[in-house]
Amino acid sequence: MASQLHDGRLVRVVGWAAIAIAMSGCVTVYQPLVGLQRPIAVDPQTPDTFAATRVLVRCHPAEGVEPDVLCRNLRSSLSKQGATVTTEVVRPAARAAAATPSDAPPQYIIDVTSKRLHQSEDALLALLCVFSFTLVPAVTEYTFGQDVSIRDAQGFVLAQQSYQERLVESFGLGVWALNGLIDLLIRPKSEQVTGDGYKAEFTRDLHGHLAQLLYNAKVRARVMNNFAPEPVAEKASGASP
Amino acid sequence: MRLASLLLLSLSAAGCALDPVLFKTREERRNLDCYRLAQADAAARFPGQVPPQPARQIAGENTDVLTCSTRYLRVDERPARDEAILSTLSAQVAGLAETAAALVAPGARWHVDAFYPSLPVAQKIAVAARTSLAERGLEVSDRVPTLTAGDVAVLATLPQSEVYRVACARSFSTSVMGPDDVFLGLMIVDPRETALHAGLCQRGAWRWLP
Repeated sequence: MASQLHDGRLVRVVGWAAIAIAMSGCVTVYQPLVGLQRPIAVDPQTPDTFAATRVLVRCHPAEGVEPDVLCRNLRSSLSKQGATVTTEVVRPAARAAAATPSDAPPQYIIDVTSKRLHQSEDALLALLCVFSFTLVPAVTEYTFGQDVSIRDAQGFVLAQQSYQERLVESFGLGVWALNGLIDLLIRPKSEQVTGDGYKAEFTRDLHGHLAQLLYNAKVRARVMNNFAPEPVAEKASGASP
Repeated sequence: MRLASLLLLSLSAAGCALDPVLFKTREERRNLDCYRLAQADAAARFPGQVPPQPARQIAGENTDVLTCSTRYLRVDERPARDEAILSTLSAQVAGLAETAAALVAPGARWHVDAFYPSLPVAQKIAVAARTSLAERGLEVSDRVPTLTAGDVAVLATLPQSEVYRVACARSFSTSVMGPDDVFLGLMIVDPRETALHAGLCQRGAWRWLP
């Protein structure tokens, strides 16, 4: 009889824990660390900033980041600003890189390496999280870095920059419910932490800085060519004479 | 009762262990200057705030500390381009000064000026460049070579590709600059760029720094 009671209590506790975990959510806070909080002078929403500019974006694989996704997002962002973008995911082991086709050779080659630099989890908090039915949050902290360099078609480095950002992820019913309530009642939309706002903020920062860096590279190329007008794109058709 | 006490204790322990950035607004987070450093260095630099390295970490386990301080000037306090230039000024100017110094034979007298839409920012750029050159042991003059009003009026009509070349040639031919003088000009050439360019004028010849 005592054993049955004990089992019943255990089942109830496990049940509550399962419900708590199922109802828990993540609160992720984004903090720009290096370079990304700096303001930019170009407007990434302008559709013709990079009109008639041919760009090759090469994404290098590194730990903790999907280069395909990064390349796809950067392509979309630069295309919206008028650039003709081709992408290439550089895979050192592969025979040939997966490049999207292009009509003409690129004027600018952007090399992007994004990697996870640091990750830490607090073991004590994780333990407390389990024993408190996720009322106490488990916190994981990630630091990512992006190295970007822009070259012209001859390989001359026109611009390079490194960025770093930090994401602090809290998991738990308590932190999620509390922040959800504050988001709903108090925080303005730009400050909300329970949704995917951190992704949008980081994307806005990274894409904005990439646009600024490409713009700086373009101006630098123009200065180095003594302000000569850029050559008109030649069609590099497959049918060579 | 016992459960409530345990929960309170857990929550207070968690409160101490939670990352402070979780309690900051978006603007406050963006106005922090943060960098990572090894725990041993952090303990030496911030005694009392960072505990000394435990023995097992000295034995090989690597940990680091994220150090943050609030910026003196908020990110949005100055115009965006000024902020972007000034927050990277020392790195940009050091790179340009190093390149310039490598291209000129020792013994030259350096003159520096900056061309930037905002005069206070232009002055900061020029001072930073002079300091950077002087730190390299070069002779730096406070004097800025000045052309006559007539020359400046003509230069104002020239396209950007010609203006620096003509000004350089003119300053040498009118003896504003002598054979031992070198002029380092730092500027932006486009209103939407945030990177400085530099050019050298020596014996009437102008060249852009790579």
